[in-house]
Order: sequence, then structure tokens, then C-alpha cells
Amino acid sequence: MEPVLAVNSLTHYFGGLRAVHNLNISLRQGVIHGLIGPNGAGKTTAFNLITGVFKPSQGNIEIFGENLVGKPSHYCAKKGIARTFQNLRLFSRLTVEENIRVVQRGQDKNLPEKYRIKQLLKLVGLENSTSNFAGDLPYGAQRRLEIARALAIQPKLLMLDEPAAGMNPSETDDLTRLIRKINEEFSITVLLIEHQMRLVMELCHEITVLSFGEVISRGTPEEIRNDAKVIEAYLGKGVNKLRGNRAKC
Amino acid sequence: MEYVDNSQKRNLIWIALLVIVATVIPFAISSFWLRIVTGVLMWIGLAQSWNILAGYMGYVSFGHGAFFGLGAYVTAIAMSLGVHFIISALIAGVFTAAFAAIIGYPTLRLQGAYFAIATWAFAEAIRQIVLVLPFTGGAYGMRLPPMLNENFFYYMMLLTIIGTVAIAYYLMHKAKFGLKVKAIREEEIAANVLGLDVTRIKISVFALSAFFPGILGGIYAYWITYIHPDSVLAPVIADQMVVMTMLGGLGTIAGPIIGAVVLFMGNRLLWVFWGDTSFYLVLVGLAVALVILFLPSGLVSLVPRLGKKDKPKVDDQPNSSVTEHTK
Repeated sequence: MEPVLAVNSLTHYFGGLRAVHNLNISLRQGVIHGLIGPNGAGKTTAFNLITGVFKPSQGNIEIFGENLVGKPSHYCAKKGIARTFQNLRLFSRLTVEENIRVVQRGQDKNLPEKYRIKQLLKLVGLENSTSNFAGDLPYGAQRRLEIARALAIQPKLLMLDEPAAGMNPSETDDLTRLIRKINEEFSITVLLIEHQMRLVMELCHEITVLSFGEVISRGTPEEIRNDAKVIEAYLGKGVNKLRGNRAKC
Repeated sequence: MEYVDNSQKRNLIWIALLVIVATVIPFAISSFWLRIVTGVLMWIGLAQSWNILAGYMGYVSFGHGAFFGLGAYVTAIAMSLGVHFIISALIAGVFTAAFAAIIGYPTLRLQGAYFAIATWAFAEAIRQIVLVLPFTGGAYGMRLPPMLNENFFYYMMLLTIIGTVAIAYYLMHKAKFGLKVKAIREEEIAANVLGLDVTRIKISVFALSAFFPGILGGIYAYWITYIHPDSVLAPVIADQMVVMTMLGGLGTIAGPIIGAVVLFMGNRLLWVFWGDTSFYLVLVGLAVALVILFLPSGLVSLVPRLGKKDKPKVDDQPNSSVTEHTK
């Protein structure tokens, strides 16, 4: 079957800095794919390239076989890509309800039941805050509202940029359940950037690891967990030796 | 729900009263005061137009006076070619809107202060161009055929202002378009990534906010019968739109109206009592400083009911919090 998203040899430079180099990702329908890596590895840049915020220096991005390179962001959205942001980008001085309504395509009452404002807000547990300003919500609620807002455009692919950032373990578990529910009940393919391994390992079917813009590993959570190169990227060289020494002490 | 119906009814009654008062004003006051009231109306329209762009979309333009001036010149040129006044003024509006769309395409990519500087520079450029073009009369300006009917101009202004305010209210507070515009103000990148064609929306709003000043410039030109670059293209025109809106309250319908009435009446009263004085500018500066310090949301915030227009409605879920507590 045709992949939902196919990224081929994607490369991007910021001036002389190579932020992303030769990135390949192919997402089958229905998977949850994790994009992990140390800070500055190029994960968010990859997101910005895929959603048309930046135009890549080289490479291809296809959604259901259609080329997206050079297309504006709103076109990518129309083709079924929705995303959230690492540093929240809600419409702060619009109400919770308006945040959803403004991006919906068509009138609320004409949309499928599960994509209506009421249902979306219920899904993320914000049904009692409809008329609050989005900017007045507590941090965790703002993160969930961003997810609901992304769902409101009825995407085929949902891209989450560090959805669990700043959440405590119990909130992270709730979020894990929410993402799984979205993946299963809405049959939406998910690509997510995350640093909390608790969520990544529990949720993802497959993982790509970036470091300094390059893919250094790829596989199932189990494979990634045991990959020496990944451990090295996160913790530095010689860490295994160190661990050994500590064991001896 | 009943409360909403009542308040809507009350608003309608207020509006109807206002319209009646506005219609009979020319018969109730001297022509001297009528000219001043006509001026107030014009400034309400200009401030409201600027508010559409800056208050709702967050793009602060310091070049909006240019659209007023262009409207005046287009009307003057069209009328010198024998076109009827009303058609000329409409042409002026369409011309300034189209012009705004063209210059908006490159400048609306800029954000914040850079957009403000670009629009200001563009307005200055227009002023210089008008000075040298062969058909604008250069520094001597242009004369229009005089029409000495104050009531006519009063009603023309009144109609245009009712149109401006009604369209601004409908688009920004009732239609979904207004939500999209506010979304751009709040987070432009998110709006774009979630499927809003922000370039198109921004250009439409810019064109709309230039359309009314174009028409108002046309009416002004015919009313005053003599225009020159320093009267209709002076930077102070844009500055006054900015100050009036900020003083009244940015991003509200009532704000620019209140700001225009207070500032323009203040200006004229000073003029009546003390003649031409630059003391007005001192007062404006003082007013701006005081508003920014003590009333950042403008004069409308003194009247809670008027300032609330942009705030959430509390009547959406009347009992949600109550049921939550009883559970």
C-alpha cells in the first residue's frame, strides 16, 4: 500500500549549517512513528519542512504520492497533515471553542460526529472550558487543546512536536492513552517527536533516531533501546565503559 | 437565553435611536457645528478602517493616510474628467483597495515594526510621487467643482460610516472570517499550518481596510473642494487614525468610534476657543501616554459592556460549573 508520508533524501541548510541531512522516512497507514534524538538533532526542522514552514534545500516530501515540496503550509494541511508545536502556539485570545471552530472546514453541524467541537473537547477533557480564553488554560490543558485543534482539520497524519513536554508522569500516561485512542479510533497515522522515553517506548511502533541532522538508527523500540550508537548519541562516547566501572565499584 | 435576546433588542433600540438622531442632526444644529460633526463622522470611518487591520489582525500600518489621500486624488481626477461624484468616489474606493492588495502582497510578509516602517515609507513615496506627477497639480494641488450643500456631505459621510461600522462588525464579530483574522493576529504560523490561507486573508483585510479610506478621501475632496499633498497625504492623518483607535480601544467596534469623537471634538473645541494652536499635539501626546499607562485597553474598558465584545460569552453553558460541583 502507498505510504501516508514518504520523505526521501531530505536535506536542509540554514546558511552553512546542515540541519537535516539525507533524511528518509516512510510511514505506513496507521503506524505511530517516533522521531527522537538529542537537542539540536534536526527533529523540529524536519517537522517544519514536512509542513511547508520551510522549503527544503534538497529532497522529496510526498503525501499519498503527491509532492509537497514548495507548497504553502495551508496546502499541506488541506492534503491531510496537521501538527502541534513544541512551544505552544494556541490562539491565546480566542476561546477554547473558537480555537477549534476557526480551523474546522465547514460548519460544525455538517461535520462527522467525532470531529465536532463538543466531541473533540470531550476527547481531550476540556468540555467544561469551552468559553475560557485558550491563553488562560493551565499548561497541560493547553497542550491537549493543541491536539484537539489539530484533529479538527480531519487530518490523515498527525504530527506531534514534544506533546509531553513539561508533563508529570501521570499526565504523560493520560497523554499516551489519548494518542493511542486517536491512532486507533480516528485511524490517523502519527509522527511524534518526544524526549520522554516512557511515552515513546510505550507508544511507538517504529522509531527513527536523529543526531546532528542524520539518521543514526531506526527500528522497533526494543531495537533502539539496545543500540549502542543511540546510547552514545545521548550520553557520549565511553559511557558503556563508565557504566562498567561503576558496576565494579 | 432570554438575557441575550433582551440585550440584543436593547442594542437594536439604541442603534435605531442613534440613526434617527443622526438623520435629524442637520436640521437641529448650525452649519458651523454640522461641519464639525461631519468631520467626526469621517474620522470614525478612518479610525475604524485602521482598526480592522491593526486591531483585529495585529498589523500596525503607519501608511493608512495614503489611502485617504489616494482616494481624494482619484476622485478629483475622475471628476475633472466629467465622471459623476458618486461614481468617482466608488472608483476611488475600488482603486485604493486594489492598490492596497498590490502593495500588501510584498509588505504583509513583514511583521511588527518592519511592516509599520514599510507602510510608512510607502505613504511617503506616494506623497512624493503625487508632487511630481503631471496630472495631480504638484504642490499646487487640485480644485474640485464646489458644491455648497453641507447636508449632502453630512449624509454621504453618515452612509459611508454606517457601512464601514456595519461591515466591520459583521465580518469581525459575526462571521467566521473574523475568527480567522484574529487567529492570524494570535499565531500566524499555527493558522497557516492548520490550513488557513493566511496570505489571501491578510491581503483581503488590507484591501478592505483601504477601501473605506479611499471613499472617505473622495467625499472629503469634494466637500473641501481643494486638495494638495500636505492636506490629504500628510503623515498626521495616519497618526490620528492610530491614536484615535488606541485611545478608544484596539480591536473593538466601539473603541475607534469613541476615540474619534473624543479626539476630533477635542481638537475642534481647542480650535474654537484658542484658534490654531499646536497645543492639541501636546494634549494628544499626553492622552496617549495616560491611556498606555492606566488604560491599556482604551477608553472602552471604562464601560464594561462595550469593551466586552472581544471577550468570551459566558452564556454558552449556563449550568456546566454548577453540575460539576454537585457531582
